[in-house]
Amino acid sequence: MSSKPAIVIDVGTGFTKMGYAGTDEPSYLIPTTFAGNPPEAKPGKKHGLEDLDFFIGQEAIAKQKSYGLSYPVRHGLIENWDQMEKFWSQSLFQYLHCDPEEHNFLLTEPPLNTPENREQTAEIWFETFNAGGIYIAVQAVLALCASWTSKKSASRQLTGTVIDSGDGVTHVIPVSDGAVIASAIKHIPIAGRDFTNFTMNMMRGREKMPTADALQIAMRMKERHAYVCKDLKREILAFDASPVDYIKLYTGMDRVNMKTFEVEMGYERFMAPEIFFNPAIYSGDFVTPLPDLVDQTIQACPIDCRKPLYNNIVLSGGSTMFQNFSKRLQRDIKKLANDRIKYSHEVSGGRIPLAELDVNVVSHKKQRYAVWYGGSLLSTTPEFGTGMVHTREDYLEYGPSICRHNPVLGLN
Amino acid sequence: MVYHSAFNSVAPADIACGCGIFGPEHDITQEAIENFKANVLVKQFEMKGPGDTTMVYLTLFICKCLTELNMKKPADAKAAYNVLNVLAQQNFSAPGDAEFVLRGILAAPQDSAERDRWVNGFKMMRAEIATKLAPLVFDADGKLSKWWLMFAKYKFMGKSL
Repeated sequence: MSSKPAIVIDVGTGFTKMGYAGTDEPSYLIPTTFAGNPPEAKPGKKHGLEDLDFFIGQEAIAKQKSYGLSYPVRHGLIENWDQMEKFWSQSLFQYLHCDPEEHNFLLTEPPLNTPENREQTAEIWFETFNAGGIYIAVQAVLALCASWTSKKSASRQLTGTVIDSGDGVTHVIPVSDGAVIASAIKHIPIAGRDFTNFTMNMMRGREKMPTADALQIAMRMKERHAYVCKDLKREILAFDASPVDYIKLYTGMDRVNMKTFEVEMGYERFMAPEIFFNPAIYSGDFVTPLPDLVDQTIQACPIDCRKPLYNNIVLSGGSTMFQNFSKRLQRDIKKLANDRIKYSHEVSGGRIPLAELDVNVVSHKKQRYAVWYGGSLLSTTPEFGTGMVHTREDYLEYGPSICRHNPVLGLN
Repeated sequence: MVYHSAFNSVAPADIACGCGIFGPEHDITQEAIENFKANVLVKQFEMKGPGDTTMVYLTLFICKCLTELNMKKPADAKAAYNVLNVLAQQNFSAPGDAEFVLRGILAAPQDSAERDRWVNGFKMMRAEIATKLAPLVFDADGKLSKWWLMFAKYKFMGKSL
């Protein structure tokens, strides 16, 4: 059956990445949005096609004024199963143009997903779409697989701390031998959307920007020009000494009055990503910097895992793409860990040896779609089709409970 | 993290209401100006010493200066200095007063002598900031720099003087 390649679908809170296994990048990247008429909108005027009257992705955003826009996935978890089923169906038939019976599907799930959700996913895919086979992978493990493409990764191991930062939320997930240490996972409510908002607010307070496009402009400027600095105060002083070296210009056309406008991006370039390291500048509620959280996460894990967890900190997701992010993170985490070792050395009177911890933050070319790419790698291994994926035959014989457990086999 | 004063561990020339008043060898006003843009965005600032308490007040004062410059829009550095000097010399409330913005954060003075020392010390520092800030807020073309004025609307610790 598997002469056709597997299909990898990674549904995130902000964007959905879809494509065929074995390729480098997802073929389709669409926002995880759904727009459909609520059933009570047109009473009495039923023509039997309401079920098909919906849009997903960019089309949904375009049609949001007449249909209602909603986000079926929140914080990585599927909240609206009906919409999700429609979303999947349009992805399969309108975007991928595939026949689900002939393919295996690799789907992804966020950390702390319930087995009941996996069963429900399996039911939808096998009953509604007649999929040939499905496998539900943990996003963090796929991110670890994707990191093997980096030069820094000497060995292919499934132990590491995954920092997955997308559009909606950032997770710090420790993984030991392919199994997520669920009790130590940390969620950070700061992600891409917040950086864009911060950039937009700061720019609007200073530049003259058309209100309608402000968010889009901020997002584009953030993705193009934002970077992580070594030290905020020094960077600000360097900027003030020579602003022309740092300012980036954006020229656009105001759609309302059809005139060109120019806006400059200044401090936001390095202040926006600085929110990771200094959340107090953006939110009053959440103030713990990311390096501290990573350190706390690893300290919450069993003591024998900690060294390899520090040694293999893997980045994934669009919001980890800022220039210098891995270097700054590595430096800050190393300082925290080594300060603690130094403190315990002093407090113990020298009995605890002073050793320097090897902290490694792995950054690689596939970071933006690391989860999808990991899925693409995983589904091209020979064991995937035979040992890992749940086939339709098994489902029909044993029921959806087989999908509660998805083994991680033979990746070495 | 926020940028704390480097003078927290230094013995100040004088302390009034918990604020360190430093001599010329510890330039606290220069430090307040340098730390301003990095610190002004935060809503909570933990004060770790007499340098920090002084810096908190000076940061709020710099915000007030920028608001004033934004309103008056002086044409050049000299006009800016005049505007800011007027602001610095105005009567301002001290810790212990009912309307003092940092009530509860700065300790109230024990007696009127301490209050006077505080007022005199900060009057000097306010004037110093006016002198130092006036030329800084103009860019290379001699116009009021938006890279300074943009911070006028941020409220350090959610407060404004």
